[in-house]
Amino acid sequence: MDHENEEDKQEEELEELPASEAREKVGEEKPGKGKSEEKEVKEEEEIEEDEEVSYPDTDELSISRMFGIGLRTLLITFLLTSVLYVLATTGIGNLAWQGPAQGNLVEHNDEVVGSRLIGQPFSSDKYFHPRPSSKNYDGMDSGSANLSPGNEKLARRSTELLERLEEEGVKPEEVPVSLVTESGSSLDPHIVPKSAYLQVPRVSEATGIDPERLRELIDDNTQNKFVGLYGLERVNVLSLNIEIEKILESG
Amino acid sequence: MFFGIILPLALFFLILAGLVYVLGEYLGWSFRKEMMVEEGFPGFFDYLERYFEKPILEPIERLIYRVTGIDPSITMNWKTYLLSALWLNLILFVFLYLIFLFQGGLPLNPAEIGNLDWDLAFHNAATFVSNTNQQHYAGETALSYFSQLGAVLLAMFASAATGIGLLLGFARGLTNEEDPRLGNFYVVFVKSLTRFLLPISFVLALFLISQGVPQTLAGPASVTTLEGATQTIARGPVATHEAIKMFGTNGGGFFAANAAHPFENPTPLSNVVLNLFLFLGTITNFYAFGIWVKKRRHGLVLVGAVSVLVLVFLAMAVGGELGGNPAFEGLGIDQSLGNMEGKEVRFGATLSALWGVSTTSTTNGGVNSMHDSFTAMGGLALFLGMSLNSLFAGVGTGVMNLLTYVFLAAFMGALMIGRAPVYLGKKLESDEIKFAAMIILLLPTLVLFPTGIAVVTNMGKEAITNPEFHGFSQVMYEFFSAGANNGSGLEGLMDDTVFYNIAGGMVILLARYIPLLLQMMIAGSLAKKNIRPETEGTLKVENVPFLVLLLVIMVIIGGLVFIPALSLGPIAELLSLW
Repeated sequence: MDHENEEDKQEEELEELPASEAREKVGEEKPGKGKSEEKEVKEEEEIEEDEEVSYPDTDELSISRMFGIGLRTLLITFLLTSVLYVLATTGIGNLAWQGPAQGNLVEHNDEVVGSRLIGQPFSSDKYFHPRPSSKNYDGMDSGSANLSPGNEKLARRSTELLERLEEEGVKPEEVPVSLVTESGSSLDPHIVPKSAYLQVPRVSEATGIDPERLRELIDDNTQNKFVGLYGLERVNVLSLNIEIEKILESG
Repeated sequence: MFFGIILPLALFFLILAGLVYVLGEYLGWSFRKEMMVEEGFPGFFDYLERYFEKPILEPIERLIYRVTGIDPSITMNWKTYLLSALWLNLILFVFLYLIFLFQGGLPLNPAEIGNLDWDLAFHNAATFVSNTNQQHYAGETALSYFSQLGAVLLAMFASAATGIGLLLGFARGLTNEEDPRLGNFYVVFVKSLTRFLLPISFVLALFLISQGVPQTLAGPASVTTLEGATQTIARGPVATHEAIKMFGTNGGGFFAANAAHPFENPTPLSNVVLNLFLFLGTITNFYAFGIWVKKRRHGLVLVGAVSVLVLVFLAMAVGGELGGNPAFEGLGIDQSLGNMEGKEVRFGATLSALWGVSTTSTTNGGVNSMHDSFTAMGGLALFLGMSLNSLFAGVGTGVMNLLTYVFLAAFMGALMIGRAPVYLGKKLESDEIKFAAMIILLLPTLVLFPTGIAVVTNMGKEAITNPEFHGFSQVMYEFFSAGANNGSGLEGLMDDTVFYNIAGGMVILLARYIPLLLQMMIAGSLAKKNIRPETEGTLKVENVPFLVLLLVIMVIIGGLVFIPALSLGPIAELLSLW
């Protein structure tokens, strides 16, 4: 069993080195395997009585050792991720982008009236209305009613919404599909510009603001697609309604 | 058509390819010592070694080894390697279960949320420890901040690091010559955190805050609206969660609506970036795998084969979602935006379809729109991605899962040209092919049997909320998602019941750990074999014919088995509504 003794010696020598270097050494000493190696193995098999090829040794770990290392590794991971990563991100994030990090809260007359990113259930005639929401824009909940395309509830809800719009004098072909469908979060803060334009007559009648002025407001509050390619053109309903509130308050 | 669909999508994949190159090289370089591949990296990495790795990373890693008692000089055979990973995962599982069970009394609970029931706590622990992240709860009201940070976030990192850890051992099995030493699992686990997952998540999280994702430990904000009503708005440490959720192919949302929630994904830009990182967590593994086995082009062939399928599914989904809902045709409304039910205005149908296909072509499972409301064609595309075991699958496990198909392709390809089956110089024998076949048969077993049980029993059927064929799809999707460790759902299903929690949790655990066991057995078997030199007659794995062969094997062996079941769900829905 000369071969194995050699291996052992080698292992002893390598023990003091870091594992990576040790492996390199072993790797270097075993260059260019090929047919010659195969022959060697065969010869060994013939010489040695047991037909096993002798492989480099691996280390065994007892279960208690694996348990201990596993537990400590997880604790360190906890420290790195749940504590350090979170604290560092929270610290830097709040220093650099305090408003966004706290939820993009919007103030009007020194009072917080909502978050720019979370839709609200506007229903008064003097405000622009958002998309329908099965959660009624409850900020402590999210997710849609998950209606499938063929679900009758979906057709019924959209038909009812459309009838209400028709009572305001809106023609069906003017209504974009997004205004009679629920968003995925049911908290969508946006509507498409077309959905805002078709509400202008109602808002104008309720507030007395000139329709042309309202259309300008919509255009001012329209965000374009990202680099003109990604997403849809959209109007933030809360921002738009705050503008209306400002006009109403200034008389 | 061109500016609305093709250009944005083409640009997206172009940027993705660039990032795969950069981060793939980086990942390959990070583990060059474990894989004994020291050359061929771009010159930039010399600076990284001198100014980042030597002075910063290595001292930190040495400190971690000392504190945890990891001995980097220890090398493990496949059994010790796998057992180290399993023990770590078991401890994590118990830890998660206890936190979810007792979160009500733990700190960081400003919204005063109570404990989870035992069955939901079990499902949660199973789903997060296995990188699946299927959620049967609403994050706003069901989890305290301590659970989100101490349990969910920890598991998101640890499960992804486990994946990379096992992948490195597996890759060593392919490159070793008559050498059963696969390296040290703990070392790879730690290094995947310090080098790959943590720094990139950190940068991504900061970017997300700049886009409007909250990062605060303050409780929900209470506001008075212009109409005088009170609105309470859930928030929290979302950015840190969102970053690793996407990059670690986890997918479990901080909020119930996942990345459809404006606080998780506030702008089209954040959506595009998150979608890129959704892919990067796993595609970089394929690229780096090519580096580690010293066949860069082979890594690209693997990515290329899967990309063909992803593009086919993407075309189906974009076509379906932009086509709109036939049930609305009688209303006479403007459907030019496509099917907008369950979709956000800031994303629109195209980006929602892209995300839907991305998330089911990987094991991410996060959603930016509600899959339950997808059209039948779009929904079918989502099913198909998962039916091939989520294609790119997850961090670490993705390469191992795809290699199962690769073994079969190399085996059949070699038989077709009358040669002994060899992959990367290693002879494929009955053991390897047997284990590979078992892995492939596991998915249909774990998906179709529970689906069958669920649809013939009341405890399964009571959860269905949509009519007819789509109702069947809801149940089947639940187990597809669990079996492929994906985590998305047709969320109309009322799945927080003892039956779905236990059945789903079991499927998730079996689907994660049985393949890992078989894959490490394959690695152990291959490690002991010698590497045959490449000759004229060797089946090449770096060219287009192999890519085609792999595609055919995937579709025929992996995909066809699901066609009967899919015919009862999305295909029947397609034929009845369209």
